Amino acid sequence: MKTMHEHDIDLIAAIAEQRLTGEELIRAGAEVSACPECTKRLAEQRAARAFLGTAPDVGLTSIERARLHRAMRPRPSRWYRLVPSLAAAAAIVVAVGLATRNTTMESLPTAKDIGAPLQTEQSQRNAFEPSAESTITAAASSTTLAFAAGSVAEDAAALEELATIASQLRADPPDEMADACGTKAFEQTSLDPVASVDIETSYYTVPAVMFVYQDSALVFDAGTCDLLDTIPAVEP
Amino acid sequence: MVSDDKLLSAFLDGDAASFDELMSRHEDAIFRLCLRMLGSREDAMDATQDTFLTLYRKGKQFSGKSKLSTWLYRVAINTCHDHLRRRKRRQTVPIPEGIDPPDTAVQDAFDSVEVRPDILTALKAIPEEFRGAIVLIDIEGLSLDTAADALSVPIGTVKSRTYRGRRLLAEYLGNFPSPSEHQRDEDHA
Repeated sequence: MKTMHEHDIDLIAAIAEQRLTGEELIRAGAEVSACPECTKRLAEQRAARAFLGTAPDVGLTSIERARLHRAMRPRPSRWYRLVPSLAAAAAIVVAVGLATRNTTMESLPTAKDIGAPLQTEQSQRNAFEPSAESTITAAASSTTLAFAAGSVAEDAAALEELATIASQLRADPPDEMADACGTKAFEQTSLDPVASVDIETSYYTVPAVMFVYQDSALVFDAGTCDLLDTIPAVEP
Repeated sequence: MVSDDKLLSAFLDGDAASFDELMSRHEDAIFRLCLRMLGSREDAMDATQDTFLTLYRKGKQFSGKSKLSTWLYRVAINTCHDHLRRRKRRQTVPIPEGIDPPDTAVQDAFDSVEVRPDILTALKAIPEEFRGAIVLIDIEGLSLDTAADALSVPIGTVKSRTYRGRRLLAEYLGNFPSPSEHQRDEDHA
């Protein structure tokens, strides 16, 4: 009597998914039949697939479809959110003045140093420049579309401003956590953040989300969850 | 029919109607995936909106290496993971993980109403990483490579996740009598 091996899993799955035909199927079937545990596992795979095969073909109702399209219709610099309760989330606005942009942070390593993707064209900075005001809003608030794409690792002023924002959040974390990229951040750090917020800043043309930890902060593209920048903590 | 790629190009050139057309083509599939990942229509609506918002904002970064539908699946899966993670964080009463052995006392009450869980209930019993794989492969009918692309993992990982997901599902279903067994028990009662 044959015992089950790791490679049998592939065979069992291939048979259950009906990926084998002809000789291949006969050979695989014989191999699986010779192993009682394999036979049991094949039955499990088939039972699960049969059950999943009964899934109804659901779709949006006409009302839901209309809501979705209405919600996706842009208004000047703003988007609707579907869930009304989200609007109740209090906005935490941290305004960072122009002054912070005139200093440099040469001691900070850039994203290039730590392997984060780099922005290659500074021209990707947004069309709304030279506005230097950045705002942080709590997880659910609306976002504007005026952002630059990619990392700002080569922009010392941007890094300084982001580090300042992170320090403020470390000192006074908001109650709400950001919606996006939590899984990705956890994969990167295996840590729960002190705070996480959607950030609206002229430095990014994409919506970004910042996860703040004790000794660093990570900024992700909120849509794709690509890591944009790593911001080391600085003394407040 | 105009291809997705051409519609996306037209949208990026400023044609808003092309975006509407792209949404109309893919919104049901994305909503269905989100519904099966999240288990609630309201959450699925929210995740679907977030997915298309990403298309609106990030469409210009779509490389065209995969099909647009695959790229949308990937965004939707990431969005659903974020929703689930947020939901877990907000739970105040921990829900035990894993599959419990049948509880006959509870089972009696359950039998009087229904003999088999619905798909959404059963999917909720499967850890989300396995759930995504079996939804894409066994319900949506994606190929292994397309599912691997959508899940951003190697094909081997998709195979392993679908296998383990089905095993867990079969064990979960094993906790419920099949309709025929249920009928037989009633006949003997």
